[in-house]
Amino acid sequence: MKKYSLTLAACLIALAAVLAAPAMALDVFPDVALQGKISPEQRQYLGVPDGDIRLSDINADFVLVEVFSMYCPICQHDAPGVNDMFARTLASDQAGKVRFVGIGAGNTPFEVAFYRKKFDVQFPLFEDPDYTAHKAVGNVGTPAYYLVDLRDRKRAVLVFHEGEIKDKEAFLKNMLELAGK
Amino acid sequence: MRRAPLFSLFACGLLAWSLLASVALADDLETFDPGRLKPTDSTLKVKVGDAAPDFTLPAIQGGTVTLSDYRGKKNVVLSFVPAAWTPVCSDQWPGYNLALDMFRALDAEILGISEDNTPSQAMWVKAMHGLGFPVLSDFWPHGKVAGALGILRSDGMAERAIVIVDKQGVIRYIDVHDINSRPDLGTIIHELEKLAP
Repeated sequence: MKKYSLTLAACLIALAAVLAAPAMALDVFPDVALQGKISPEQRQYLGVPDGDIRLSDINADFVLVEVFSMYCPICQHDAPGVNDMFARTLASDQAGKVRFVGIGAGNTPFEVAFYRKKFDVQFPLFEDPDYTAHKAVGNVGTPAYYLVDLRDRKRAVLVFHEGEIKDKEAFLKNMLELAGK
Repeated sequence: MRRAPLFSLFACGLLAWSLLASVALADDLETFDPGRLKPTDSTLKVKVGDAAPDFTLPAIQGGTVTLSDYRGKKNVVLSFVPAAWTPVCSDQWPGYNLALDMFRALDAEILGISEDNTPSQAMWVKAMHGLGFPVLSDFWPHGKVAGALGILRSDGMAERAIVIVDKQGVIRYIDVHDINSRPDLGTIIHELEKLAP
């Protein structure tokens, strides 16, 4: 019986480790530089001044960071759904609390501009041509999504999701509930 | 006593399911990472201004594609990639596919070429959710086209290279790129814009 209990314990520990792995990918989101041109309206949306900005400069309680690539077919497939989540967040009770940004892993200004235009992305997208931000967040697969709590300057990661968001309804509901707490 | 092995089996089954689920997070395109390779490993045999060596290669879409068939009609972007099912290659052509309208507005066709055989290319392209441009196999005689251009590596893969051929069949741009990184879409588009009348 003892042998089986040990097997069971080992399996459960391994299971817990596997299940915990994505959430443990980052506890604190790095204060990455957000590179690239954004419009005055987008600066106003983020509440940031002119000039270079970092994630911690965003004047909001929460930020949803999408790490994407123009080249990534899953990102392309997900783009309309992410746009929809953005629009519905703006229309929600949490509109004043949550901001959206995208970081184009390995993407040049041209590639980010092309992606923005191709999918009519309204939230700010930033470039990361040399993968600096991508390395800082742990070389995640694209797309990857982080809901970051910016209150008290913590940058605590509340949600991490790598790959396609298959149930965007549930993801959005969870995000808005977390923002409402 | 018989409950113990059943219980362990259930726990391990749960573990196996969770492992499979975590793999599925990366979606349906699993790739093989060859690691960091020597950036370039060949010697060019052509230069800008040369006539592009003609070729006919089988396409995953069926039939063959002949470079000279585009003469007088379209500019051609030859995109050589080293190997199917590798990370950078799998993250290159879907971007060009997204930009097909831009290529076509510049009177250009893109031809994707690798040294893999057609069945392997076909399944890889399917996993990339399909591509709207011809994908050609330079598998047999192995590397004949890449070899003629001087971009066949000593390991039998092509370099990650972009060769732009204009409507007159003349090579107008060559980028034998670091095999470990992806050529910038913007640079290719800029080079095509130079060919506009």
